[in-house]
Amino acid sequence: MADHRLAPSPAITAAPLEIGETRLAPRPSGGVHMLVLSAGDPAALAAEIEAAFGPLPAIGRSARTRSGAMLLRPSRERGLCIGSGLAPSPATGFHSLDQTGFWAMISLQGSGARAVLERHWRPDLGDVAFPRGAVAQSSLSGVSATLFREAADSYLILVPRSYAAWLFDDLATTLHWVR
Amino acid sequence: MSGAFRLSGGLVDRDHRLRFAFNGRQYEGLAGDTLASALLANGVRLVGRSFKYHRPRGIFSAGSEEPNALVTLGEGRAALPNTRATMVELTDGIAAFSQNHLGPLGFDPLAVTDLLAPFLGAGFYYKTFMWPKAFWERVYEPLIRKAAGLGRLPTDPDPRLYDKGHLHCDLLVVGAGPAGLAAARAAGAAGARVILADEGFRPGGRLLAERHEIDGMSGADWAAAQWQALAALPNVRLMPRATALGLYDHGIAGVLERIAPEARAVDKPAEIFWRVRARRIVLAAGATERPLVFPGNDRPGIMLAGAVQAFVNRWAVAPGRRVAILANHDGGEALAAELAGAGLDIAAVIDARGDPQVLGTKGRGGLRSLTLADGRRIACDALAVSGGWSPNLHLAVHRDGKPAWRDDIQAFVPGAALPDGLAVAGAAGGSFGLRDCLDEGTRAGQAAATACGFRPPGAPGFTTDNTQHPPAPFRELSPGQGRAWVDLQNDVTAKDIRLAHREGFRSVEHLKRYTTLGMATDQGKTGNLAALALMAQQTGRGIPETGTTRYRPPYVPVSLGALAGREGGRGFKPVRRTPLHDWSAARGASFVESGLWLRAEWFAQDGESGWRDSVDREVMAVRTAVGICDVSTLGKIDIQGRDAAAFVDFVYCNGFAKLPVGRVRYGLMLREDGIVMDDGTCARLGEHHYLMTTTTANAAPVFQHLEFVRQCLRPDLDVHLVPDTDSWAQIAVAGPKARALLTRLVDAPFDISNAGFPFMACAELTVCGGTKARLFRISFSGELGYELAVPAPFGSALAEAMTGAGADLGVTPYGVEALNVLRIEKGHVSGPELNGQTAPAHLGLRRMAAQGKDYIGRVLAGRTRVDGAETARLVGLLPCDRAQPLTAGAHLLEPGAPRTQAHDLGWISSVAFSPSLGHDIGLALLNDGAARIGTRLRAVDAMAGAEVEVEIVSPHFIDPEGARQRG
Repeated sequence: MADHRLAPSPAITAAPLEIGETRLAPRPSGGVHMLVLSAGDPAALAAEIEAAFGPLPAIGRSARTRSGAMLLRPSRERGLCIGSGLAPSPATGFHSLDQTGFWAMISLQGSGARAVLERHWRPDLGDVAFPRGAVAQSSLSGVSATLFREAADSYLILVPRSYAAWLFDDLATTLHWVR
Repeated sequence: MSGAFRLSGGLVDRDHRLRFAFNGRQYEGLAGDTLASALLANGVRLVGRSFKYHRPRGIFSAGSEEPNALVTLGEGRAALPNTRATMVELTDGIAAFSQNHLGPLGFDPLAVTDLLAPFLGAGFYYKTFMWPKAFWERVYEPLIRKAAGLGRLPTDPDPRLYDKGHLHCDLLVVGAGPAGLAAARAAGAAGARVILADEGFRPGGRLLAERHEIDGMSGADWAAAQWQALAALPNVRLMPRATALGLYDHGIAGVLERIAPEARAVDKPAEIFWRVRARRIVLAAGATERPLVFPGNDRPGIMLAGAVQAFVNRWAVAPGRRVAILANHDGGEALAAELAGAGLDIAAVIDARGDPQVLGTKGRGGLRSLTLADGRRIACDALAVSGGWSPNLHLAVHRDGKPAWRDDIQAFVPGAALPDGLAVAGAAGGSFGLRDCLDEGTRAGQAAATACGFRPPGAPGFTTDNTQHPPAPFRELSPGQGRAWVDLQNDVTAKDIRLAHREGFRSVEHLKRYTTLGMATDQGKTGNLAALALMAQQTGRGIPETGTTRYRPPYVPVSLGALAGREGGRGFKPVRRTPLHDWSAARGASFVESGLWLRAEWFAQDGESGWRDSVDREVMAVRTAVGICDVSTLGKIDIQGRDAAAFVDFVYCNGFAKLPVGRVRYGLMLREDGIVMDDGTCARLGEHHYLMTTTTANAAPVFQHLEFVRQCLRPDLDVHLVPDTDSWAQIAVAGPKARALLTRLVDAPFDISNAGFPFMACAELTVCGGTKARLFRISFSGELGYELAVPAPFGSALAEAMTGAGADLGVTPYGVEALNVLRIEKGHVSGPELNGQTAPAHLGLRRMAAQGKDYIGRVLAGRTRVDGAETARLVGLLPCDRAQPLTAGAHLLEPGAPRTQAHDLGWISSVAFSPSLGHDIGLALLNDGAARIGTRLRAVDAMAGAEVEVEIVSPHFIDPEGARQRG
């Protein structure tokens, strides 16, 4: 009786919150893959990534792949590919893990976005340390998180799924408090 | 006019009147007032009673250093005790109450202690309260506890909200007086990211209290203009009402921001505690004035001269009708002229450097007159006292710095060795001329901007005065002629300091602790220098040699709530929910906290009267039909790489190198000392691909441990680790009908028969028409068991599909309570047995420790001694009288043995009521356990005073041969 398909449930069921010009909303996931990058030969790694996806971003930066996905590079040995599905092909310099279910994504946009983040995020959010396209790993209220600055006033937060509902609630409280 | 003592002018808004109450009586004040200025404007001079002697006290200062005017602001659970009236921004409707008196403020019967003063000197409690001995706990201590302290804390939780945050900048300027404003302007103009923090609600510092002209504008107007210019710069963040509390490790400054009255709301934070990381800091925190020490120097109406100036100039309030001035420097005459110009009557200007000295004062409820040594009596109701100014150098020395003494200003200044990146400007560094302050601020701001890579534009100098009044060296006036106060808040007198010296407490740190001076909420801001000067005179050493006590954050008292932010109550830690959380809740689950996780403990059904009904039912469902349990919380670590097998083999004590692809094995992970760290299963999904599970609590510690092994112990291995716990929803399916249920869910052509998928097999497959999944045939319960994992988003749907597909099979959701009963019945070890004291041998798993390979824990395995438990072995227990309950934690003793540690044989680690057997069962760690099987012992619960006779048996109560899980 394997005939009823399973439907996915979202990690965050709370509704998006918009106060003033700032918006906090869950971002539905279209696929997230964790790339484990070898620390071996950087040039060889860059070539393999280029062949498979597109340019390998510098550590702490991001780049669009040829297929339109976004490749984040939070650290030397990790990449996060957000967007279209990945066809894993054998490679020596890296391997990928489908972590679509692992990561919940939260979008924070608008003129108050930074005011919200500075109540939770320890590293520097300034334009020099964290410009457009930058990626960093730290924690928001004790939840390990990856932060991506998509645009000047637009941030994407990635957190493990089990924490997502709690964190969204906490950020919503902050959005109420800073306005 | 809002007050009989209100003058004209000032920086208050006469169009904006505010009502407030003090001790239940209504008064009127103006916007721009503090509670202190508004009280003085209304002629209220008596504001509290002193700590020890309950002497009447009045407002002493106009700022943060206030030692006397401590009030309780508000009532009920929102009351804030020990609030400095000088720092309360007056708002409409506030109610304040004086502290530390029995009955009305004006008549406090406890003032009788003032008469007992000769017996209550410094350290009196070290010499009393010793007899009779029994009285200490029953009489003295409760009495002292009641008498101690100033304000009273509400006993209900603080209703206020608080928040915390992090800020980064190129330059943090502490203080928006002239030096700070100049520094911020200079650095801001260069384009640097500047944060300017000031404790007050209006920028300007002493410019608001004194009469200066800067570039043709009044000091107050100049300050306002600077603030406005700074506000227009996008790279500058202004923080009024923000106190820099301290400088901490790594140069982080803690800044406490109080929310402005107009922005306050009950559902928003009242205070925010910021951690500021600045590349450079300019400390422009100004200076605090010191009083003089003379007999009777604590009456209401006796104030710091700078405070009198501030009340008159900034708040347009006369502190009294006839003001006398006492100063040990040249500034007395100029102040007299200024006050007279404002309409005050000047009683006298006394030079404290010469004769005749002040002999005493009169006026218990408020100053009435002062007496000089030549017999003259001067009638006055206010006395402005100045002994010079002490730079507010605290932040410069919080990180173990030592201040330096300057004879020319008779004050301590920041020492030569400043914290990295910190510079001092203005009065905080000992410069008291206004033009010097402005120039130093500008230079400091420019230097900071340059250091951060900016090019500050040139700045013109300032046209203003540079008047200074260096004070004479400290001397006590009319010593021995009556009690002269040094620390007003803790009621410490000059006599106490002489006493401390006589009794041998001569170092400044001993002096502080013996007399308690400097230990009150004001931390001796106005009293410390006189105290150490007096001690220096007693010992004959100079002030620099005597030194200061250590300066510590916070600079002012801070609410614990602000330091906690949101991390209290439910917000203390994040909450983790499994993918099946909502589904479980909808089916009646109640949840238990397991670390940060919420796990379903049982699923109560209608008609059940308690948790035992639910748990017993769930256990029997697993033993006779099929149960499903959410096991998503167990840690999962994805291990891949050419040397993945070698890595896994290295971290587990049992062999993994030969584990075939498609098989899973129970693994025991040891610490270096051979004690079990964690247990779990490890599945080989591919030649170079393993999936390790851990216990829920140890997911992060095991991952950290594995990363340490990977990076530090075995960097030679090509292996990578990815935490994957949150990726998968995992459901245990256990019971005789487990296979029947799963057959209905797995997609063809997967062969789930016993032959096709035997015990300890694993596979990647799809279920329910195409959802990718992983299936593991493992059993924690001892029944035919599997664990089915699907990507987390599909967890709820899978659970729903299982209950739908298995309805006719009697499928039953079960929670962690039943999970625990089942594993105890089976005799599986878990958390209570893996308590950091047990090695494989203790658990009956000695055979798992492999012989032919190296692994973490190999060297010390079997050699680690845990006192008294070397021979401990895991056993099972039954109560001899089956109806009796067992207690986990009870200790095991021989019949007739005394209840002492020497006779302790072990303890019960896990207990459950076994629905399968109909009575309690237990697991225990018992010395020589194997040899004692079949014997009887006593299980002693010393805390409850209960004893149960128990029979020692094998720990495996159900299916010890393991036939069910292999079928």
